[in-house]
Amino acid sequence: MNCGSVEKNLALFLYGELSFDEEEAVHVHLDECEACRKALAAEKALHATVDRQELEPSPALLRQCRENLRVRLAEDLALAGMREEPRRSASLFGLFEGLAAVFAFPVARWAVPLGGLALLAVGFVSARLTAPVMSPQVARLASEPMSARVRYVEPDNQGRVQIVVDETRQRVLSGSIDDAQIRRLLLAAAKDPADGLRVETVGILNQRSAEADFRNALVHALQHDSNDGVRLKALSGLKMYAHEPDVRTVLAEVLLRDANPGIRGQAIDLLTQPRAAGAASDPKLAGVLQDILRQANDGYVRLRCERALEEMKASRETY
Amino acid sequence: MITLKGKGGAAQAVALNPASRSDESALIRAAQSGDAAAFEQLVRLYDQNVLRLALNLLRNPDDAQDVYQEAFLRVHRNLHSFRFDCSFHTWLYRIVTNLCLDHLRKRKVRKEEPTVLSTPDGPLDRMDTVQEERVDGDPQRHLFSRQLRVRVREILEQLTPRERMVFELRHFQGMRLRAIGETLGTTEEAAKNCLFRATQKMRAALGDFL
Repeated sequence: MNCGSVEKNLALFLYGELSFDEEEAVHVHLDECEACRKALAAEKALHATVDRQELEPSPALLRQCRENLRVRLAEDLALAGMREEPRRSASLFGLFEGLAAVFAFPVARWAVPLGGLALLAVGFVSARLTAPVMSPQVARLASEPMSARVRYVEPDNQGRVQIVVDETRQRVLSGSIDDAQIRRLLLAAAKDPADGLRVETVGILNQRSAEADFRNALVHALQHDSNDGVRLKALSGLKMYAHEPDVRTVLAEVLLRDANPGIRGQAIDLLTQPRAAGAASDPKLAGVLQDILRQANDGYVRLRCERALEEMKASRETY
Repeated sequence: MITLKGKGGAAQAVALNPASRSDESALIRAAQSGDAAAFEQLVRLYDQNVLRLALNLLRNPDDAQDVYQEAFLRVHRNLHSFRFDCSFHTWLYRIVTNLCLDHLRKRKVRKEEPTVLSTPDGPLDRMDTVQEERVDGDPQRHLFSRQLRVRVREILEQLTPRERMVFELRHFQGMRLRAIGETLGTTEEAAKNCLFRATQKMRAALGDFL
C-alpha cells in the first residue's frame, strides 16, 4: 500500500471498517512511513475534536419525551377505541340478542338467576372490550395508573361486581444521591427487569462506586445481570478497585463464567494490569489463569493469560 | 445490536447475548399482544439512543422531541406487523433515520435559520444555550473551543443529509457500516462511500484547527 491509499483509508482504519488484509497493509506501511503516522495522528485529533461536539440529551428532555409519548399513546388508544366502537357494539348486541333468545326459552324459573349471572358476564366482557371508549377524557388517561391488572372478580348478591385491581402509579422524585430514599430506589432500579433502566442506573452508581452499597450493587450486576451492556458498565465502575480482594475474586469469576468475550477481555486486562497491586504474586490468580487456558477458546483471553503467567513466572499448566 | 454510550462520548456497539435477545423477543411479543408495560420496557431499552441520534442530527430539541414521539408512535401502531425478519434495532432505526432524513431534507428546502448565528461577540451556536456550558478557566482556550465547536457545526450542516446520517450512525452511535446499510436500505459499500466523503470534507475544513 502506498501513501495515497493509506491516507485515503485512514478514517476507515480508525473505525475498524477495513478488511483484515487491508488493515494489515496499513499497519505495515505505518511502521515504515513517518508522514503517514503524522496523518494518522491528525485523523485521531479530528475524531477527538468531533467527539467533543456530541450532544447528550438532558434527563429533563428525556423525561419530557417519555411523558409526552405516554399522553400520545393514550390518545391513540382512545381514538382506536372510538373507531372500533361501532363494530364492538354490534358484536355485543349480537351476543346480547343470542342470550336473550336463550332466556326466552320456556324454563323461566332457573333462567332468572342464570340470566343475572350471564348479564354480569356481558357487563364484565363489554367493560374490557370498550375500556378505551369509557375514558374519553384523554388528559385524565395520561394521569391514570401506568398499568393496571385485574386480580380478582366476584359478583355479589345485589347484582354488582367486586373487582380487585393491582395498579402501578408514577410519581417524580428528585434529590441528591446522598438522600436515603433516592439511594434505596437506585439500588432497587439496579435490579429492575427493564434492561434500559438498569443500564442508566448502573451509570449513576458508577459515579459513586467508592461507597460500599453502590459498589456491592455493581459487583452484583457484574456477576448476575443478563444484559451485556449492564455488565460492561458495572465493570467500568469497578476498574478503580481491581486491586481489592473482593473485586478481584469477582473478576476471576467473570473470566471463567461470563459468556461475553469483550467482558472477559476487559476482566483479564484489569486483573493483570500492573497497578493491580499483588498481581505478580497472586497464586490464586495463577490458578484461575491456568483454568482459563484449559477452558477458553477466545484467542485474546488466551494470549493475555499466557503473557500474565509468563510475567508471574508461573507455568501454563498445573501439574 | 444495541448501542450503548461508551467513555468519552464514543458509542460502543454491544451485541445482545442469546438470553437478552430472547428477553427482547419476549418483550416484543408481549407488546404485540397489547401488554402496555412490555411496550414501555421496549421503549426504554432504546429511547435514550434514539433521542441522542435525533438531537445530534437535528441540533434542535423540539425537532428531536418530534422525531422521538413520531418514531415510537409508528412503532406502536405497526408493531403487529413486525415479523422478526430483521432485528428490532434495525426496524426501529429505519423508522427513526427516515424521520430524521425527512427533517433534514425539509430544512435544506426551506433554508431554515442556521443553528450558527453571527453576533457582535462572534459566531454563536444556538445549541450552546441548550447544553450546559462547560467550565473552562482559561478564556483563550474557551474561545478556541467555542470557535472549534462552531466550525464543526458549520461543516456538519454542509454535509448532505445522507452523509450526515452515515457519519452520525458510525461515529456517535457506533454502528457497523453493514448495519448502517441495512438500516438505510442501501449497501455497505454505499454507506462506506458516504462515510468516506463526510470524513474527507471534515478533514479539509478542519485542517487549520488540528
